[in-house]
Amino acid sequence: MKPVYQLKNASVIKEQRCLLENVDLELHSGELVLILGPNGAGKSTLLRVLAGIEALSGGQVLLASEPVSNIDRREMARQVAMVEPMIELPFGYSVEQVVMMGRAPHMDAWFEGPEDWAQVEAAMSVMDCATLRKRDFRNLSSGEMQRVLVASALAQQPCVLLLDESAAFLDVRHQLELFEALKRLTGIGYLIVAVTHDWNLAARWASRIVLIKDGRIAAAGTPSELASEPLLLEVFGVPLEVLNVEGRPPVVLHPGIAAR
Amino acid sequence: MSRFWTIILASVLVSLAALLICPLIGPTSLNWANVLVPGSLDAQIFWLARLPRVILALLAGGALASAGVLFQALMRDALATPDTLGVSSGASLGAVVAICFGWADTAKLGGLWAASLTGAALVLMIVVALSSSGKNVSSFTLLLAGITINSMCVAVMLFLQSVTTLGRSLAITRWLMGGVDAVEYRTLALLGLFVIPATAVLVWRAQDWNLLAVGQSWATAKGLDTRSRLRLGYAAGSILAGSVTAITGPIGFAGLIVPHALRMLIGPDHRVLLPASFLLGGAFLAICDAIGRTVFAPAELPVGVITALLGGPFFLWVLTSRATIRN
Repeated sequence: MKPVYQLKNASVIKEQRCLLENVDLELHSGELVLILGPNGAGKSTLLRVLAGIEALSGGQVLLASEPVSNIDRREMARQVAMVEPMIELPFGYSVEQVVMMGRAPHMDAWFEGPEDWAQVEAAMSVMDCATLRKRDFRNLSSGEMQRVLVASALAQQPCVLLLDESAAFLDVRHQLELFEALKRLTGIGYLIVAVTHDWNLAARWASRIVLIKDGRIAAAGTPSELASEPLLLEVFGVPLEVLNVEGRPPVVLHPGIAAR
Repeated sequence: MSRFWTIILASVLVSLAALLICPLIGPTSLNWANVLVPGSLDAQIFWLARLPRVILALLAGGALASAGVLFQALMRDALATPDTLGVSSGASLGAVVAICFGWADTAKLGGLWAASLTGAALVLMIVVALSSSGKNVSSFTLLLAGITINSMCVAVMLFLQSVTTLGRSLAITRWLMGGVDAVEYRTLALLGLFVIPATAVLVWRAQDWNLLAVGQSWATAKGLDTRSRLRLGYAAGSILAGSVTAITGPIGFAGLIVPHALRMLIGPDHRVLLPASFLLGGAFLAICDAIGRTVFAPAELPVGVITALLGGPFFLWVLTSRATIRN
């Protein structure tokens, strides 16, 4: 199968710091890829490169064999939707209006049409935020905001969904619901790439995990392939014990272990 | 959609009311029966003095309010207006330079306009450079930059005023008072040629200002070519602020009260907010001017005095209520 994304030798250098260094990666449709790594490892940079928001300093990033930098912004937004960790609104847009902004790459008319409303309704019902529709976005809780942002991304009807720490603010039930929804989307051919700090979340849901450290890919593979204590110690810098669970092993940080 | 047309219709009606009623108000009060008698004194006052003045107020108030809405969206700050950003001062400085060097003497309006537009555009470029140098420039930084630019422009204007001839110095003083004096219809038509297309472009691209108000990377992720759209916005904003300031002189706070009040009433969707602000911002300035020429009649207060007296406290109120929310 042809990959959706191909990164070849991709590097990002900013202010003489190498945020991403010679990254080679292929991402396929139907995958739920979780990117893990310590703070400042380059996870968000990688996501922004995939979204075409961050330009490469070297190498190539191809979306369906086309260099991302050649793709028209509007066309890009119809294929790839990016969910940022948090947005701060200066004005009181309603939840419905924020989700409707996801229709921007599809709307040619000045007013939204029936198709736009249908997509907004569908997206809100997937993310369980239809009851919030008239609320001022700024007054929502962080978890509610995250669900609305994902809904706005779904309203773009993309085939790729990029999530930056989207699960971090969610309570257990909504986290479960988010990932069940994501799993359904990969079932119908979406490629989903999500950044997280949480190994256990990644191990529970990922079809593939990419471990990043210092702008380089430290390892990539299924949760059980990567669940080795020496590897996790090297990437995260603390000893983690891998629990003996078949297929999707979680890890624990034992009490008494201090940061070095 | 019906809500949209209701709000627009109501705004049109308020503007029309201002257009029809404000010209009757003044030191001599007029009524329609006398105005419609050709050649009467009332008709002369109405057609030659009052009506052009009210139309100027409608255009100027509308343009400043639209520019205010636009700057607030692009800077993501409810306190950004042509004057708080220093754009109006830039336009004023341009105009004062034009008066000082005689480019604006009798019937040479072109020089004044060109200088004013250039001043507005230059200051806006400085503000944009400041606001895009770092990733997130706080609103206080922007407002402080605006105050600084304002002070520098005033200093240069005072310098120019003190070295020029007495006649031109007086012209500058009069112009700096800011007001909507009676102008020729030709001038109004010219102003309309700047203001109406610029506003129409802003209304046409209203969805884009919504995306940009949320943030630039948001707008990019939703498929907008942000660089070209920002350029379009800044150009339209300079045209609005510069062309109005060239004719009226500085009118403080005209772009603040109406957009802010409307955003609280009808929400921040620029498709409604922009046209409603244009229509009601104009009506607001026309009414302020009608008050200005009545309260101390026969003496007249320049409309800038009224808007500053209303807008200053309003600005402080917005500033303090925001500070409490943040804490």
